[in-house]
Amino acid sequence: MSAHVPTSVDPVFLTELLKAGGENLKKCYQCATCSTVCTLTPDHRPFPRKEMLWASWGQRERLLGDPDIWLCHQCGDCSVYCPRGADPAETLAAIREVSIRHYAVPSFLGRLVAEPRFLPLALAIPVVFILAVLALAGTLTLPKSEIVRLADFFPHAWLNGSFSLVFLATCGFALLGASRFWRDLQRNWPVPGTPRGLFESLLPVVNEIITHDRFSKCTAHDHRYLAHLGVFWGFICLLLATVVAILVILLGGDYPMPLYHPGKLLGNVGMVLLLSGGYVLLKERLSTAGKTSRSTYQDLLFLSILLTVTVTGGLVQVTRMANSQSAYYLYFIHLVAVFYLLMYLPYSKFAHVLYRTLALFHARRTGRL
Amino acid sequence: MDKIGVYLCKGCDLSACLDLSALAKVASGEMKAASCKSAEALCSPEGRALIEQDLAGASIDGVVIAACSPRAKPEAFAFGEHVLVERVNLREQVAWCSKPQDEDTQMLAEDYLRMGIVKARKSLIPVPYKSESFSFKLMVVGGGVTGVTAALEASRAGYEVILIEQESTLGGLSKTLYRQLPMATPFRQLETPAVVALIEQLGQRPNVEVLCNTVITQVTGEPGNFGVTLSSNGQERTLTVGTFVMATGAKPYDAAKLTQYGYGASPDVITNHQFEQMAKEGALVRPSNGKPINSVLFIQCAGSRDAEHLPYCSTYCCGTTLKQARYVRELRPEANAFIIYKDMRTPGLAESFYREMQDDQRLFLTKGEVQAVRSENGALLVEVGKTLLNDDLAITVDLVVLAVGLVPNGADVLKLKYRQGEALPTLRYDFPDSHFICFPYETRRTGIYAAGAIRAPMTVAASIDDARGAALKAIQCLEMTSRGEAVHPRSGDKSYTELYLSRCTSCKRCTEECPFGAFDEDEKGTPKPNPARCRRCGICMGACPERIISFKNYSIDAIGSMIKELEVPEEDEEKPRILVLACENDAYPAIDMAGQHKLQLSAFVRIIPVRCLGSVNTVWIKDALSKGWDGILQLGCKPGDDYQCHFIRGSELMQTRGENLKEVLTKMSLESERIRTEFVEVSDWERIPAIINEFSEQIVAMGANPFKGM
Repeated sequence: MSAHVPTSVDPVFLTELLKAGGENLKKCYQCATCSTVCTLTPDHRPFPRKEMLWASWGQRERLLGDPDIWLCHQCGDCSVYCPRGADPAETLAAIREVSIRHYAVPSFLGRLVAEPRFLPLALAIPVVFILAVLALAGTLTLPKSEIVRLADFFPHAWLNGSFSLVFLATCGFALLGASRFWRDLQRNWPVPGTPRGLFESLLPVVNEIITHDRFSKCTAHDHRYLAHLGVFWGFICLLLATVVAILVILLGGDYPMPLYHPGKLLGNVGMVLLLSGGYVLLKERLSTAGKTSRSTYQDLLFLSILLTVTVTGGLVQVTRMANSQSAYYLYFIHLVAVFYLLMYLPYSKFAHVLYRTLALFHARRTGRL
Repeated sequence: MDKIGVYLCKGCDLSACLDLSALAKVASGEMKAASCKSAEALCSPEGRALIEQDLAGASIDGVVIAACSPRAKPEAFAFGEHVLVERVNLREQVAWCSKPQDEDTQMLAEDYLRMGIVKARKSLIPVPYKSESFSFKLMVVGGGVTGVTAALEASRAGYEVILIEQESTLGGLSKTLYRQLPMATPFRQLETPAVVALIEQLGQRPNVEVLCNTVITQVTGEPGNFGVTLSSNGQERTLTVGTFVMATGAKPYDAAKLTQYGYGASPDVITNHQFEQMAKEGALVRPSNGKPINSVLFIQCAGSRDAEHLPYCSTYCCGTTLKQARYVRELRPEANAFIIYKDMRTPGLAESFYREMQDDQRLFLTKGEVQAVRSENGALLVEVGKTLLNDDLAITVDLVVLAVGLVPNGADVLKLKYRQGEALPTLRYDFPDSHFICFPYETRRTGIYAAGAIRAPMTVAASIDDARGAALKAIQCLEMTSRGEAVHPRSGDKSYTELYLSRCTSCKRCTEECPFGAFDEDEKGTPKPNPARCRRCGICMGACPERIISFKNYSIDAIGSMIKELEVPEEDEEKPRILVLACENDAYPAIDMAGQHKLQLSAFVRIIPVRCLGSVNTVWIKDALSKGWDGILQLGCKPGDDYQCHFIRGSELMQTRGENLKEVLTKMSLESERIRTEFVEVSDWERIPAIINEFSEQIVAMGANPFKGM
């Protein structure tokens, strides 16, 4: 016999969701076709049906701390089958966006990244920051030599140092947000008295991220399985390549690395993976716009920045080897994009690496998965 | 008919299946028909010409067509109202369902021919009933949206209408509405109540008389000749009308009985009708303190779909609540509205309006069960369980609105001075009874048509449609009755009951068993038929123990003679004879359909159509058994609460009489299993062979009727 929970509705929260991409969510009439069709939902208290009703009722607390919105991988099967055109996939994406904004620390950065009108300002910050660091380093002019040496333009110590500092701060903010998120997950879906072990819960999560097992179950946007796999592994490879590069520099090795160097190879493989995966994702988003799925500003921005990083990175490699002066400009753009990606990680769609992983882990701990 | 001309058709597999020359011998020789001819296709122009020639030559005065089913090609075999036509079904019920060129099949065809000729001989051409005076006036009872529409439509169709209303103004329930659900595309905006414009249009009609403050004190007579006495402000007036449209509507369920929702305990718990009045007055305020509301919760199915209150759904309440949620948005834009429902039902075209309202950002809907409503800290706390939100909720609101159902106004408004009582018979939930599936608007009183919420709970849009339907039916009744024709199900039938009163014992069975109250009674208790009220089913004929009732073309003697005309084979031939009495509404068509699908039937079976199983008189059964028939199967439409019987009580009465039949059998020392009743619907045609053949096998196992050959 459960007690009757005092229930209030938050129309402001509902408006937020409607604006963030869930514009049709009120059309839902609770037929549960979405939950029936979803290949990722557990049978007990499935999603996305209850989330649709909670969204209609402006149930802010229930939704923000709901692990199920992150168990969703936005295949889109539910939206394809929804008889009312309520777009449950887009609604859950909107809830995720609002959730990211909610957990943003500091909150003004969350707003900066969320709203399209602030894009010039959001881009200006990394530009100003990098220019400031260059000024401090005393290299605010282009090198005059014929051989292009990026380190002359932006010394490694200054580059790695400043970016690391920023990244550390970002990590700190991310952790603050994540701990609030974890607390809310606990409140809505407490870990039981005898939960599954930490290692036992973590291992399957790592495994499914590596294999993209969950993605492969979706049918509506089945291109996303391989495309996202490419993007993910491409990013990992590029990340590792960056780490290798820094190590090589620190250990005084041959830098820039020759093309046959394993680190360089790793980087180029990563670039190819990321480019092909990202291209497919972007192309599909743009071609199905308004038909079977909708993309929001956040979706397209994240993908664009990621592709910009990759494309400019590849171009820098080529132009440097060709000793073209354009390499410096491209390098600058590349760094602005990288900075944007890293600094705004907790506030953009990129934050899913944090929240989704935590939610999956939580689901394993509580036995939901 | 004396001079019967028999015509045998060779087409549609008949000549391939049967020995037509042998059949001709039966007709001319044994049955002594005036003539017997055959043609390639009787329905063709040549075939018709052959018959018309003989009729013109006056060598025959009645025609027996041995060809396809009487349900096929009626226009091909109509030769004017002075020629009797009897159809013998040799196609669907012989050639198509039996083995061709087979001895038993031939015997089957010959028996049918014998029966057909006998029936033709025992039948007369009906003379239509016409009363001395006839009124084409239509009376509409009830001046709400339904009554006003019916009056308007009948008037536009060219008929004189008199509309009476007990209140001082027209408009009924729907005039009290603030707004109405949309009736036109795109069905997204509310409208002014339609009745307002309709009343104005009615006022401009030249052939309509509107009487407010008027009630009926008495109705006598029959369709075309109803004597009506009206009372208005103490003044009486009598007039004659032809038909009635009953549009007396419904009223809201008494919410005082809904204490579980706090009605009566708190002034802030009101009904949807009270909320409607609030909106009409322009201010949504709490009755307790007059402050404007900031939140309202609607409880759907309040006292509906509930065994302890109204078991049925009243159809209009979900749409009305959505409409009232729109009022909240209009009059209190910042207020939150909640709807707790069992289901959201939007019959008709209201789905678009539901979609429209779903977009309202301050309207919150969930399925749920309201478990308690109580006052707390000056507000109302509503506890809701079994919701879709995965939790039991406690919602605090300013106002609770109960969406209550509708209850019909009394069915006795017409004060019929009929032997069977002054009210229209009701079946379920006090709504006037009719054969709902086949004959909406119909009531169990001929010439009286129910429309709108008196017939079933419904919205304004549905009431308007209903009114049009009922008006059309009333007009149809006027026209057909003026020609002496029955209305449905035996549309166009000109025969009617004739009583040989000198042998009547005043047992009153016909008077009481007639589903339509067609008989009144005089002081001595002798039945007085009112032929225009009659539906020509023959239930009275089946009821009468003295067998004094008959129709010119359907009588105890005619069918009895058919039964006795059977050629009974010798016992040692082991050819049982099974009589199937099939009601013409569903059973006979089902057998035809089985034949059309070439499903095979036992050739020992002879099928005689009857108007209704209720018209089967016990004497037929006795005669059949005495003659030597081995088994009798009665096929008809089912009785009961969700009856299918097109004459409403026919098969039910036949069942009760079946008890007496068992007595008959016992007296004759026969097994009671020799008589069986099966209820079929026309969609059961696939089961027909199984039913008939299985019974046939059982009879074979029982052995021959011991009276055979006596």
